[in-house]
Amino acid sequence: MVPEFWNEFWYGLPVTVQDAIWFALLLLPATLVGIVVVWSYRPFSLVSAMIWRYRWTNALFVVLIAISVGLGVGLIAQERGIRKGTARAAEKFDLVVTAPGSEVQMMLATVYLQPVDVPLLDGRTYDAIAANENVALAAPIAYGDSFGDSSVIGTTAAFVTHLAGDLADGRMFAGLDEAVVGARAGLDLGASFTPAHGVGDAAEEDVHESVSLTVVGRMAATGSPWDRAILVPVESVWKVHGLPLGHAPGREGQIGPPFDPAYFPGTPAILVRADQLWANYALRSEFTTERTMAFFPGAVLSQLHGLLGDVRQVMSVMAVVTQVLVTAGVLAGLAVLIRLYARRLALLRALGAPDRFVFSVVWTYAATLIGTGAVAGIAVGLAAVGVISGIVTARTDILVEATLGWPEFDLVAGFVSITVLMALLPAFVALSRDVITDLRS
Amino acid sequence: MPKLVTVLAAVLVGFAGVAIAHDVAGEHGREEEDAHHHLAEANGVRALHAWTRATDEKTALVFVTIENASGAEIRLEGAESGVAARAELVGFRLKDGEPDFARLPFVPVKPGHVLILQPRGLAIRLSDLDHPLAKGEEIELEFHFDSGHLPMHVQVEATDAAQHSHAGHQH
Amino acid sequence: MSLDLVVRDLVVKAREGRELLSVERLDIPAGSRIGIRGPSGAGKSTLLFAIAGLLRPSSGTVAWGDQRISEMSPGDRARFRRENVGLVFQDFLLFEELSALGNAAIAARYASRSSRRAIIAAAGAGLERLGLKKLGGRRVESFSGGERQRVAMARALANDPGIILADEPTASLDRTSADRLIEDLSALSGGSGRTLIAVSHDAALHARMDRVIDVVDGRPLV
Repeated sequence: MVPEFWNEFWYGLPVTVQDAIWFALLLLPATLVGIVVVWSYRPFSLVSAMIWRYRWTNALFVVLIAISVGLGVGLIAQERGIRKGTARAAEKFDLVVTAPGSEVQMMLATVYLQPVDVPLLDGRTYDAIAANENVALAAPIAYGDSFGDSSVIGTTAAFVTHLAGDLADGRMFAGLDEAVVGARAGLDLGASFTPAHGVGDAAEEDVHESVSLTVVGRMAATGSPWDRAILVPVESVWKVHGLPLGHAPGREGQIGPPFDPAYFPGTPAILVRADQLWANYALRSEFTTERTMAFFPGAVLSQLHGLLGDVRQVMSVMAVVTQVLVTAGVLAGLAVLIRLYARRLALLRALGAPDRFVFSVVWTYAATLIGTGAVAGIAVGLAAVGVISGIVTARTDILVEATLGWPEFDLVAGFVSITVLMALLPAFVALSRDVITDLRS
Repeated sequence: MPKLVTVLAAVLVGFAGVAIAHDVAGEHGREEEDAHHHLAEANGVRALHAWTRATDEKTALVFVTIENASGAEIRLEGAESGVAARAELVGFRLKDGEPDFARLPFVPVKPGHVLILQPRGLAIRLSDLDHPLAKGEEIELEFHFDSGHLPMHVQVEATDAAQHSHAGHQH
Repeated sequence: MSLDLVVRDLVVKAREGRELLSVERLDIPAGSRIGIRGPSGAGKSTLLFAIAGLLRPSSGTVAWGDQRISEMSPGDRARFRRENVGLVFQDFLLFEELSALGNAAIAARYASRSSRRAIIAAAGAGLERLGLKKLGGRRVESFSGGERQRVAMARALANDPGIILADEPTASLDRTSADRLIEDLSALSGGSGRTLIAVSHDAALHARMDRVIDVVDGRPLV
């Protein structure tokens, strides 16, 4: 059992301090071995001379270690970056109400714009949600149309502002034939387009031919697939499908809420936002009915992340095992490499250098390669993470900003400690060699 | 109507003891109080299948299904338990991509509605547990509603459980 | 500290059991300059390594003064060498990337803290004595053979040893450098009470020795 005072002390520490202590603990074995092995000797300039003598061979070993460390570290950082990126993309979607179905599918459609054919929620449902006292924002999210690579989403001005804040350029849509584009949608202000019914290969381009929309504004970047979307008034989507426009006769020109339930053609999803976190849970309870499903995209995403969590653990173990294997290979190589230095080491022993000194020279040499490789590996990891994040962002429109954090540094520290202990082996091997044979070689 | 069925079933279970069903399931040794263990009711507010996960840590999350048949809106405000220094209502959220729980003052439940406390949603968070929770154990807990307190047994399930082991049974 | 060398009934065998060296009796008084010569493979170097304590004989005794190095553990023999022996090899065996002083004072890296200063001072003095003072800070990779062997000499002198053992010290040098080295070796031993034992094919070297021992078929002709 851990004593109470220790728990209080430990959990009372700032997280950064806890992380730093963990890191130090993981490096401790390496540090202790280093101190014990090198104690009272000065092998360092000798070791740097040895390394310089066969610098290209040694550089190759360092590069091997760096790549294996870099890949392991990069993989873990990338996984976390993707987790954070997908979470950030879902941040604005507090509570989503759809027709009953798969939460995962509805989340993919609503948050990540991977549209599916779903039943629509009717005007009565929308009205009940919009009228609820705890609801601060109830916005229809009407997906299904597209233009090129961009989804065309019918919604309200309030949702545009909720999603991306003030527009980066231009103004909000104010009429049926106006649109606001995402930061990466590739349409300039003033450009006109005709949305196609459906998305991707299934899009039917000629269905909405008579309709032409004009871009009047551009959203700030959100780091989500919405950056590629085109947002239009939901009335505009209804109009191109030849449906009622959501408002009673005489108010046909109105854009945005309130909508008249009797003339509300339906929407596949409604984003609901409450000002208080507790209210979201109350709303979820209230909107979970036979005809509606209410879910938190964050919770669904977290569940998916949970599944990934198992993969992550496997990945971490694989990363460590791979690194240890590479290092075992490197150390085996080192044992061979030591032969290059065999005459110099034999000379030291002939001159009367204590075995422990020769041992410290060999170990310091190996530890230097490992340490340099590990530090270079962090650099490789950073570079790899930057490149992969860029590719993932470009392909998914989900902004992935993977950076190296404590988990990666802990991995490297653990790796250094393990391999530096393993490096004691070639040092013993070096001592078992015959002095006279090596002197004469 | 489905709620009525649930209540009837729970009562039936209480009378019949349903020892047979549970013997078959082989999960429990203390059958005589079983229905009482999994169902608590006061003033038309019912709590069903309270459970938590076995843990060595200092905190645990308690999940439960709450049905409001009282005819008025009620508020779940928190809880207290003899095994923990604190018991508070928390709500799940993703914070910077990592799961996080935020303290909530209360959550209202409209009459006729059901509030489900479940993983990655609402929960009662027990802090500073006075002993590790082992699977099969039961702990005492009192839910706090604005309408009154509701004492209940909380079943400790496996560390990786996703629901009460009797969930789906007709109590 | 000068020590008399006493060798009795020494037998050194190769790992497979072949006899490499057999010395019934060899006495070398402290301060002598001894040349060892003989055909290749006769066992000259083996004799040198045996009296340096670099190998453990199959039987017999090697003693410097009252220190019977043939019966010492490897660790004690290493200590004996670092306190009493200076070694010079045919191909110098220097660390190319270290300076002349770094090579000459290499023992300071593993010596006790208290003797480091003395070793570095002695190495510096040795380089100066051998005419390398100006080159002390330069890496030896640019040095000529003669300069390298003089750095190796300075290294052998840095622990102020009572014994200098040299294995073909002039074999990699041109005549001029060789003659200069012989001069230095000779001057730094003998009169100072320091024993010099040099294995060599070089007649010029042997001409400067107090005594020359021929080794034939693993046996010194005493």
